[in-house]
This record gives sequence, C-alpha cells and structure tokens, in this order.
Amino acid sequence: MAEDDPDSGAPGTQAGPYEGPRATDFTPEADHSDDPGYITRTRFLATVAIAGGGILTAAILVPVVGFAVANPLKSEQWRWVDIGPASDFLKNAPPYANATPSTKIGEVTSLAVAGTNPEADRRIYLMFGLVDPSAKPIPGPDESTAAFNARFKAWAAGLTAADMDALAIWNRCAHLGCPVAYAAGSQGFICPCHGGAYDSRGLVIGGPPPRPLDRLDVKIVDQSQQYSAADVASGKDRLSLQQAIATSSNPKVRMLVGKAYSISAEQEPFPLHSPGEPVTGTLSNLYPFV
Amino acid sequence: MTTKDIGPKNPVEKAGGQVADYVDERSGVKNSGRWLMFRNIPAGTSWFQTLGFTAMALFGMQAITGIILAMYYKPDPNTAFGSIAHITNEVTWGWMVRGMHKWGASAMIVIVFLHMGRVFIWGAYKYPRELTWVTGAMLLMMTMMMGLTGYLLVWDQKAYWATVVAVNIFASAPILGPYIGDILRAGPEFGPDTLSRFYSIHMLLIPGGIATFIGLHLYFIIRLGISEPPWAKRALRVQRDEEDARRKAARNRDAGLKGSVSFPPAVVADGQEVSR
Repeated sequence: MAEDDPDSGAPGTQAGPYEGPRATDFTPEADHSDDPGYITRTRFLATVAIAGGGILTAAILVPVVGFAVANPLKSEQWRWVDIGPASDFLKNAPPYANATPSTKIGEVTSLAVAGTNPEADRRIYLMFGLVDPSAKPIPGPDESTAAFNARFKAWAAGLTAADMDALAIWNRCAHLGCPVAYAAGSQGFICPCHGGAYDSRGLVIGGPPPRPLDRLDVKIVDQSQQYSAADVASGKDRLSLQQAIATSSNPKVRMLVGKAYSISAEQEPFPLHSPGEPVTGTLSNLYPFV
Repeated sequence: MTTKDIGPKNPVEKAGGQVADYVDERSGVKNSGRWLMFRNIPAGTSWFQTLGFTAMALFGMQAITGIILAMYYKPDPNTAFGSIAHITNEVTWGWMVRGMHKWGASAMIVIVFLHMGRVFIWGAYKYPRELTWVTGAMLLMMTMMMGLTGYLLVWDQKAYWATVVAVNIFASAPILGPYIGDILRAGPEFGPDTLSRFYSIHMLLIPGGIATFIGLHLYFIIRLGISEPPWAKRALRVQRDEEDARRKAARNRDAGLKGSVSFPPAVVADGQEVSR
C-alpha cells in the first residue's frame, strides 16, 4: 500500500468511509431539563419570586381595599330619637264635635333631618291622620250642601283614635332617591326629579317608583315611667294612640323616631331597601342580600 | 485618505446632532420614534381617523386644566362650592380654565362616542384588532365615570341630586348593585366622605387608569396599524379578482400556444376547438 493511499491515514484528513462516532451510537443521557415535572433551580427561584411578590402585593392591597371598600359596607346604626312632646304632633285629634268639611282631621308636620349636608332636603313627614283617607265623605252629585255638611258632621263625630294613625314618612323617593315634597293642596307627595306621585300615606299613585315611600318607626312613650331594657325591646313602653291622645297634654309624653323600613303596596313592612328596588314581585328577587 | 469633513458645518446644528446621537446611543429613541410616528397607513385614511387622537388630546387638556383647578379647589362640603365660586369669579383666568375643563369634559364624551361610532361603522374592531376595541371600551367606561365623579364636585343642588340619582341607578343594579352604591357613596347616604371619595376617584384613580389604557390602546394601534376603510377592502377585492381573471386568461392563452387548446376557454371541450 502506497503512502499516498487515500484509504489510509488519520480519519478526517483522508477521504474514505467515516469511522468516527455517530449520533445513533449514543443513548441520550437522561437529562432533568427534558422532564417537565423536574424543578430546576431557575424554576424554583422564579416561583419563589412570583409568590413572594404576590404576598407582598396582597399585604399592601388587602388593607387598602378594606379601608376603601369595607368601611362603607358596615350596616347602619339606628337609635330612637326624641323629636318632641307628643302634643306637638297629635294636633286636631278626635273627637270632632260640630265638624264641617273644612275641619282639619289630623295634621302633617315636617321635620328636617340633621343630615350630612345642610343643603340636602332630607326630612321626615309626621303624618297624623286617617288610617283610610278614602273614607272621608265627598259630596254626592245631587246632594245639597246642607245635607253633605250634616253627613260629614255625623261621620266626623263617629271618628275615634282607632281611625287615626301616626306615621313618620321619609322623603327619600323610592324611585332614585330625590327629596319628595308634601303638597298640602293635593294631600300627597310629589318628586321633582321624575314625577313620582304618592298619596298622603306614601303609597304610589303615579310615576316610576317601584314601591311606596319608606317609613321610620315611631313610638309615643311616657317618660315619667321607668321601663327596663327588656320592656323597651318588647315594645311595652309604647303608648297606644288612644292613650297618647288622652295624655298628650303631659309634656313628658314624647314622640320618638327610630329605624327606617320599607313597605310594600299593601303596607307590609320589609327591611330598608335602596331606592329603585321593589320589595315584592318577581323583580324583588334581584336584590337577595338586602 | 479618509475625510472627516462630512456632516453639518453649522456648529449649533453639529452640537444638536451630537446630543441627539448621545441620547439615541443610550436609549434607541430614534428607532422607537420612527416606529411610533412614521407608519404606513392604508389608502382612504381620512379626517375620520383623527377622532381618536382628538379624544387623547382632550384628555391631555383635561389633565392639565384639572391639575391647575386642583390648586384652588377644596373637596369639603362646607368649602367646595365657595372654592368653585372663587375660581370662577376671582382667580385670574379661573373662569377660562374652569370653562375649558367643563366644556372639554362634554367635548371628550362627544368625541369618544364619535370615535367609537367610526370604529364600529368602519368595522375596524375585527380581527386582529379585538383587543384594541376592548381597551377602547374600558376607556369609554372610565371616561363616563370621570363625567359622573366630576359632576358632583361643583356641590350645588343640581350636582348633588343628579349624583344622588346616578348613584342610585348604580345601586339598583341586580345582586351587587346595593354594595356598589354603598362603596361609591362611602356609606348609606351622601356626605363629606362621598365628596372627598369622588374627588380622589376623579383626579387620581381614573386618570391613572385612563393613562394606562391609552398606552395599551396606542400600543395595539401602532403594532397592528390602522385598518383600511371597508370601501378600500372592496376595491382591493375587485382588484384581486380582476388580476385572478387576467392570470387565468394568460394561462389559457399560453396553453393554447403550446397545444391545441385555444382562447377563449369557455368554448373549449376535451381539447378540441369548437366553433361557435
């Protein structure tokens, strides 16, 4: 064999069949970087960095969000507020002797609520009047004035404290919360914003409100009497309207206003709802957490 | 021989170029600027495509006038209306800056809606620009919230009751509405905390959100480019169809030259020429 035989000599420098290592000769070494479940140092540190950052962010955000969001969600605190002697509010009470159609049957008193903004016209109306205002007689088509006056007098003379009612009506419109005003001429409440109209008991007679005006709990108590906390809780300190009218000349008989509540069109009490929320019917199910 | 005698001879221009080079070498700002500003835009781009920039410019104006107004405004129920009156009647050009902020707010709402209408009618929200639309919708909502929270700050009867009504509309949303209402007004009723809360939302929370989303919105627009108007697409489609027809005709003509098939192809059957 000659020195310059192309088949001899070191591999790579001479042409000829390749005899070096081939890729197929190796079984690949098991490498953890091929295993998706293997936690490398990089992955571990990345996870720790993300988790640590998350914990630090939460440590900042949880108190901040709680401060901004949780505080407004606290439930309201209600207490009984003494608004004055009962005689200030139970004006023109029965019995009515010699009443004429112009005689006042009960009276409406307006009370500004000390609100957060002195400009805000938030007030309550204390309605002392008939349980059923529609029972008030109206002249018949062919009835003479004298006959109607006589009929009215007889009806008014028959009224007792049981026919009367004392309500505290909140002037927050049940539609979207504007302040309603009492119109003495029409004996009802009118909302200036969207035309909601209510009768003298706060029941809807027109416009968009989905429920009647909200009311506040009222009670008349004789503060010369002592009551235990249990009696106050069970309502034993409350005077009936009859007792209150009979003793209203006593300045110790006071009227108190308490917690607000919503009512249905049938005047059934419900927990206080925000404006715009019906308390009965299908749509009331949209507000399950009230 | 190499020459160093190139570039501007004016020493000011030369110094300016050196400063620009210094900044560019360290920031790459020239390239980014070209990416931002010198983009290809499709044929048919018109004044309608300027509504988005107008909205952004109005946001800039609201931000600047708002910062100045915040120097005089006092978010407290007892002093808020007085400080507004002071800005309007006593501070030099206060009526002007407040007017710019007030009318700029209305203009921004109008322009944002026109911009949205333009995008909708042009069909520019379609693939691949869905996320541009989504970020734009977020911007719309934040702009509306700016309108709501800014309206209360005047603290007169109209502002007060209109915002009472607006928050009660939020509060009458199903299920979570009552909570949203309580969170917005900082409790069951409007009060001092409501005013300062609205002020904070109006001048800190939402402007930050709007600035962030404008950045995202712009990124998407620059990355994806302006969409061509629908009529441009139609023109393109017509053009493409015409080209297809021409190419097909040319193929048939070539085939006719090589073999027995001749033009037009409609009258050719089984490689045989058919006379009409």
